[in-house]
Amino acid sequence: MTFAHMLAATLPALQFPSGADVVHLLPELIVGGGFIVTMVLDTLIPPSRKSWLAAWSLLVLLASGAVTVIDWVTVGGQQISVYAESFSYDRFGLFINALILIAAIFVVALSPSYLERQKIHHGEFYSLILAASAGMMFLGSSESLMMVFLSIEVLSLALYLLSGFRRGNTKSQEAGFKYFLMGGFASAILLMGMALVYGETGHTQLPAIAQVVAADLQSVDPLLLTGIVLVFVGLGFKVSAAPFHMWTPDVYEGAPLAVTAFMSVATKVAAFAAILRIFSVALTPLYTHWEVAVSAISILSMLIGNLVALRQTNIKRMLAYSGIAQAGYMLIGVAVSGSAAIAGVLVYLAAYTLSTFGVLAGVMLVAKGDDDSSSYRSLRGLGHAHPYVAAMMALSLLSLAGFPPLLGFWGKFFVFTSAIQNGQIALAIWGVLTSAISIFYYIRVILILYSPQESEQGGTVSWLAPARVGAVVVGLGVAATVVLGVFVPVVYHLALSARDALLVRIAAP
Amino acid sequence: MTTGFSWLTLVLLVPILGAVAILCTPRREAWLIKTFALIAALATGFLVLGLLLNYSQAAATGSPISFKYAENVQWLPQIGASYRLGLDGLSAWFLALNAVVFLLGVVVALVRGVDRPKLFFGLLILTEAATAGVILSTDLLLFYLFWEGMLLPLYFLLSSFGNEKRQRATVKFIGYTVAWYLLMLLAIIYLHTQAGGSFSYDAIAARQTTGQSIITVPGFGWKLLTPDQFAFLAFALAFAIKVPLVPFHTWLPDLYESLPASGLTFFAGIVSKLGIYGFIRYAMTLFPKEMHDFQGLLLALALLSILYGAFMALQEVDIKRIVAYSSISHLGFISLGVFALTVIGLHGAILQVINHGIIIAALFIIMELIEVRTGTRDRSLMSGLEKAMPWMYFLFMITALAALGMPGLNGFAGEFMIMLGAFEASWVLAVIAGIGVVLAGWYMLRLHQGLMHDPLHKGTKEGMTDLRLRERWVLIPLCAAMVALGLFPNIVGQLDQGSVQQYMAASHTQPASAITQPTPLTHEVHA
Repeated sequence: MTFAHMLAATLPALQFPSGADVVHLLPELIVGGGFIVTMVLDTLIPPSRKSWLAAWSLLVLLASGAVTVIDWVTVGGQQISVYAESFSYDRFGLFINALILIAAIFVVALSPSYLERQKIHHGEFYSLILAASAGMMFLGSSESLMMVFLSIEVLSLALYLLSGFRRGNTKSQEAGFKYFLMGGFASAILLMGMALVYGETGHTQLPAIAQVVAADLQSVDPLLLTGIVLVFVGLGFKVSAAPFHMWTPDVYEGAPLAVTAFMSVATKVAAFAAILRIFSVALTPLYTHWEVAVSAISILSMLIGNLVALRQTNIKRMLAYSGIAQAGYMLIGVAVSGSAAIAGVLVYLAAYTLSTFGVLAGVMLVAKGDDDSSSYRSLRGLGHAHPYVAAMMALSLLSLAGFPPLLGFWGKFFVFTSAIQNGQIALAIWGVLTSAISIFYYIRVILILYSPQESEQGGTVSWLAPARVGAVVVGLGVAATVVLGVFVPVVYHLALSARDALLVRIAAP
Repeated sequence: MTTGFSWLTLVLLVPILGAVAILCTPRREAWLIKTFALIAALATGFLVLGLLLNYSQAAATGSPISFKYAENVQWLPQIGASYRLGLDGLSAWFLALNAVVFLLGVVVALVRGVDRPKLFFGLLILTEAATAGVILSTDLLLFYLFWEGMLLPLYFLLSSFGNEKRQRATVKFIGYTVAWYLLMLLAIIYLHTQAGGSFSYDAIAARQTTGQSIITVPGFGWKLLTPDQFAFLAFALAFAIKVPLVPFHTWLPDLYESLPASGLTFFAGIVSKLGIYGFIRYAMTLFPKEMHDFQGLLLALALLSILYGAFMALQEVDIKRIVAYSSISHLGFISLGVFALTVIGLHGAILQVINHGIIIAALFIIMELIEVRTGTRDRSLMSGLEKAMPWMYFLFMITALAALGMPGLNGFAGEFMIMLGAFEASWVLAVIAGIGVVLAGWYMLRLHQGLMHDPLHKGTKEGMTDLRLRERWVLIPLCAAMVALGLFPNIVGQLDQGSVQQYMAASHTQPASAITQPTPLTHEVHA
């Protein structure tokens, strides 16, 4: 039951991939290949021309996005096994790909001017963003525990480096180091859990695990349950669910804004994709065994995230705790585990991606320095100095708070609806009460944005004029939360077909 | 019963288009912004007027309450949510009031002037669309979207305009309301599952509610309520906060104190009335059994509101807060008419919603005009204003008399019918409510006399002027409406009679119990 055994079990997958495999994994491979090419290009491009790399990375991401869209149309409702059941090529994975690509495109489009101002405009930034994106996209398509683990390692290693990207800054160094230590620990737990699951079922492929588990429901081995719990702990760390959230605020605060924005949304999307694939599909037969644990973690995340966010005075830390709480809401969908819940979680992920990014991108657009620009005090009066940026941030915050008709409302709505339909009324009520708390800290930031500037330290805080490209990109994202909120059937329809694709093999074993 | 043209969508669309036009106008073109706002409010007003004139009563067809101009567009078919709008005798009046108070809000803002007109008028007109949506939607999810979505423009409006206290007051209001609205959302989702996966008002009203088991606390065996009772309480709480009924009123005095009159005309005029609307439209007809279960509690809260509001108004010195507390007391009256669950009481409540919308707007405008002239809101620092302001004296007197329920003015007809309805339910209610009427006479007359009679207060500013011509032209139509509605309260009764009967029928578990006798509406009012 060692790592070598598990590798041996996946040996068939280590054969050379066929042409069909390559075609089916094209979106992921484009980004992964782009990462390697970017590393090479970085050595050839002079330091003053690093923006070229941003353009190139955008090109790679857009190409991958285009392929994702084409794949979405061509794949239809089927679920195709790729590379000896290592990955699954289906609309669910493509939905996740699209969200990750949106986050990556936004970050890359905003980064050049931001990195330039922070004097950390190095080419590695782009290659690491591409590497992390590739890992996340692979994770969204992974259908075997091995590939889940490897994808998580790829994305984590890139993010460890990115967190410490402000090399001269101790907070950033601390963030990188802390994330690395805690992440390594979590990976070990995850791997241990996978080993136990493999040992009990004899498989690493999720469909095979599902079959073995479903066949023998009478006597569930405690070791298998231990393995499942450990896997959940490992993934819970990645989505920063309480009580595995301790790293989140420090890392979000120390990491450069661009990295915080990227990892706060994309990591969560990818890790939730894995949670849904493993728990809501493969381990559904054991639902009664893990339901209570997931519910408990969901309840705890909502409580801790929302309560501690009230006390924050730094927008990065506030969003870290808000992200913990939002993970709690999405975990309601996992704990409910109906087919409606999966679609709800997907809508929630889309809303969370656009809205959290909208807030952080707003700060990024006008930030002078990283640490002094993200405290609440320095945001005072932004609404008067840069009404456009402040309005974008305010709308995103309201979407996070769940105001209709913004997209954030619909995420909560679908998740709560699935909870009530499945009779988990207590979870839904808890969710509602805690999200009532959340209104206060989101609105507090809006109030600060629109309050008069205070000038107690002599001079007033000043902001930089937002870069035009970045402003347009953020505007697009925020417009999407409004427009998709009003025309929510579009998103819901996409989420439903992604959901259906995920359940194909369960429906027809 | 779908007419060819989507008139109700047009009612929503006109203000939205107006808001978009305002948004697209450059900030320095203030006159253009004001013109757009006025056009949007006027156009909506004429549209609603045309709909009302065209509106005719027809017999109910199958469903408990039939809607005219009904629209139904599939929107989220997967979960049974549609874009459904409809108009009935109840919503017709609320829609009319909505159009009037927002037009009034625009006019008051034009007369009094407002800084940042683009923001103000844009948000004002947008709020009008949201409140009209609340009134017109006949799909519970759509209703909820408008109900909470309304808070978005309101939030920015309330926090951007008014005195220095507004930020705190706004956060208090939003925090208070949102928490409980979310509980109502859960109740709506619950009803949706009960009605077989549809959010349609008709489907939910027709759902089967038999065989509800009482929820018990696991492990203790404590008996709680049935799920429907929980759902009813969630609805009732959301509406009670909006009205507001004491003890859910604490957001109101602070907010009203901080708002300018242009915002208060529509906020006190329609936004808080939507709570009453919700009680009639949703709590009464969707939960007929629960409404009777909790009738005692609701009546107690209504009476508490009447008395508490009146006593607070008596002990306040701030004139704006006096009016704010009087509003709590009057809304307690309106709630009493609804909760009595009698036909005449409900008629009176609807009539009084219209009346109070007009009276409270006039009162807040007058208070602001007095504050501007004297520079204070302290009642004890003002007296003898009548010499400098004869017009103010006259118009304030009409308004005050209407507010305290003087026969011949509009406040009387509504309060009288509510008292009759309460008496029908129990004489105790009418007696306690009668104390409220006496107190209303006390604080209103004391306010008017204290401000207007006696020699001029020593500290008063020099050179106070009477109402300007344009200020008069805001108040005179309002006072004329008070007289007109006082003399001919039947206008309201004719339009909503059929609907009120239906609502009453739907609110009784054994239909045909309370509605068999014809409504003796006309002669009693003129008695």
